[in-house]
Amino acid sequence: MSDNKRNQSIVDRIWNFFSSITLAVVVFTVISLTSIVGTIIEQQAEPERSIKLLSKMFGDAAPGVYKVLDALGFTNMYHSWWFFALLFIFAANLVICSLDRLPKIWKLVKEPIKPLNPEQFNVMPIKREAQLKAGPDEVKGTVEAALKKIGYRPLTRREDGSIQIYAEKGRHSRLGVYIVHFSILVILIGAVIGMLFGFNGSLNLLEGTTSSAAYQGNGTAYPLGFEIRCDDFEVSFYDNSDAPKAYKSWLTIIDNGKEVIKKEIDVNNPLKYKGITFYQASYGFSPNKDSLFRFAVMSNAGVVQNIQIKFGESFEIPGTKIVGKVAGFSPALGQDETGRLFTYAEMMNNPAALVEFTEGGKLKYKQWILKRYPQTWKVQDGTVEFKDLWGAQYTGLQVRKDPGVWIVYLGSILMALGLFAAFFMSHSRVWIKLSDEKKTAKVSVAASTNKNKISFEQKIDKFIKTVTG
Amino acid sequence: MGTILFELALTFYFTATIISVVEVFKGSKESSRLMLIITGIGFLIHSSSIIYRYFAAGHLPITSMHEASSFFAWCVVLIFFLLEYKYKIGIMGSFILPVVFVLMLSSSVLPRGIHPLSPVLQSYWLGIHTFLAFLGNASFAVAFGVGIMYLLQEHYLKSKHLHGLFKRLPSLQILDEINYKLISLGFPLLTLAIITGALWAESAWGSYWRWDPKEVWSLTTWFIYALVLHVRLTAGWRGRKAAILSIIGFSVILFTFFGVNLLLKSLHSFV
Repeated sequence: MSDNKRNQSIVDRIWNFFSSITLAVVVFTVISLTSIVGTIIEQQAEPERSIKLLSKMFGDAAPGVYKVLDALGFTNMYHSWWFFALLFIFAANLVICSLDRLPKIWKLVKEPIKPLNPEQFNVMPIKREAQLKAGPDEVKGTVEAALKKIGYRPLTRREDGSIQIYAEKGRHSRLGVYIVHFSILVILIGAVIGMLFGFNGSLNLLEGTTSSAAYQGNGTAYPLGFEIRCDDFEVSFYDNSDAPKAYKSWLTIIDNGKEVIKKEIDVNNPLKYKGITFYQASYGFSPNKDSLFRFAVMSNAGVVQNIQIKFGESFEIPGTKIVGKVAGFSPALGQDETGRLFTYAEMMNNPAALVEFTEGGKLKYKQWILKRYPQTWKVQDGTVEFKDLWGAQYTGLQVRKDPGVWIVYLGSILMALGLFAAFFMSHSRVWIKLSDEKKTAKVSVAASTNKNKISFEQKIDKFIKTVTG
Repeated sequence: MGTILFELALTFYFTATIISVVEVFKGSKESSRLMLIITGIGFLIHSSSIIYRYFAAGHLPITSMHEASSFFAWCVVLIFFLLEYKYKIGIMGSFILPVVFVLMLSSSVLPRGIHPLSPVLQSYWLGIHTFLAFLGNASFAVAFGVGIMYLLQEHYLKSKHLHGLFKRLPSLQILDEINYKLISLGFPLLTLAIITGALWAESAWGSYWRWDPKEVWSLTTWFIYALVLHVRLTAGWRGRKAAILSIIGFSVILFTFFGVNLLLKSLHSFV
């Protein structure tokens, strides 16, 4: 490419602009700095909230500052036109600088090593010499064996009075950098496909209910093309604490009226069907008059019966005249220092049912039965295991369709391979000339590498030591 | 038991740090060897404290700031020993052990309780993702120390202060090569950490990238070191500029590690 700017066509100038390292430096810096701004200003937050935060720094000017930031897209900057433009320039820079440099590298990669003429031999960056008390033909075998031992496949050429042995390693690793560049492009393409053809929404499903759509942030329904039902949702806790152990939903997919999949999902284990993935994202508690208390009731004689009743309904302990009725409920029953019972959380952290037991219409006793504590299940006339309050919790699912995700994964794998080639492999070449000098062999070594020159030099020295014994 | 091992490791590192600082002013082969031995013993004890906690918690102990700082320090010492094995530059300890000690000290003042694993962390990625990230960050931490050594050595050269510490510091060329080596180890590790993080986020949060502050700051770190590599190879920014950039890079890492967890609202804070 000509350095004379006047002779450059407009295409050349654009090409040079996009292939320059200066542009790369500027783009790296601008993307980094603006991205950081986006972590300080809360993204997609309510204006009042942001203005309140800004007023700490700017005082009365906060609403004005907010207006400016909002107009510049900083309140939702990762989706703003100028951020996309930056990413586009980044991609263009990546593509064009790679294309600019690739032909030269490609030539190097395509061309296998050749023996050197004396001038070329003399200008190689690494040079060593040694003398051996043996003829060149005897030394040849030793040299070849030593080269093979460190992973080279030596070739030989006989010249008048001397032998040249030459070998190379890692020629293709020169492409590593370009594989990394290409992989970034693949990832960006995958991301764009996800944005254009994907969907990101959510769905709250009460236990026992079914939906055929998910919802976007603004409330727009997105038809799934099938139905999904939440059969159950449960939070389990670590023993004697309120630290959650697992959030689990039992889901059923119904396609064309048929139940096709039943799956239990949790946080790191989503459900996928027809390209749509359902993630366990949140949950909530919304008890209603149809919610069912599920008990396993056992009489002292050992007769077990599973029952489900609504609030206020009653059941019988099997084989007795004792009637139980749910008269009270707390989603999270706790006890304060004075022994007074109270509800300490809004979610079902420690669900408890107050069951009144009557005999012949007369109240015999009542007892709090706690789902998480089996020792509370035993009552005078049997055992009442509190299994669940069903139909009271909803599971919060994140619903996502991303046809680009596999392209992103593919790009990631490519990137890992490219990085390995770029950083842990190098293209090294070595030429060894063996010439006869009065019953001794003169061993001249020339070598070059595109990376890690110092450690490669150490390797060459070690190699010479093995040859000279 | 876990506490005793931790305190013991801290003590050994502290002693080694003191020796290493003294060594800056007045060093000898013997003191350098002593520092290495004490650091080595500290490292063994530290390793056993981490293994002990691994079995006590049932997973890689990396889910609280106490555990994370301690593990970070462990990775820094590991990289330090790898370098020491290859280059045998004892004086390097004087510029790296203080970082180790500060990390261990911050770990020691943070709450030490073992918390049960929250649902989002229950994944095989926990060990893989964090190990890659910490090893990468540790390489950058050591590059930071080497960067400071470079600037110091360069200062001595320029001011013709050609005795004392100058003689014990390696040459500018070697320092620059080590710096480059560390960055070319840290960069692939950081990249793999970001990739595995994205894979994990995809299964746990339902999106491989959501511009969360932790993601953004890691990406910024990634851009800084990508910049270091690019300007080195194409514009010949070596030596001084590379040293300064690796100091800036490590400052950004420290913010990504402490700042994002403590100051910004991130999904990726598990403290």
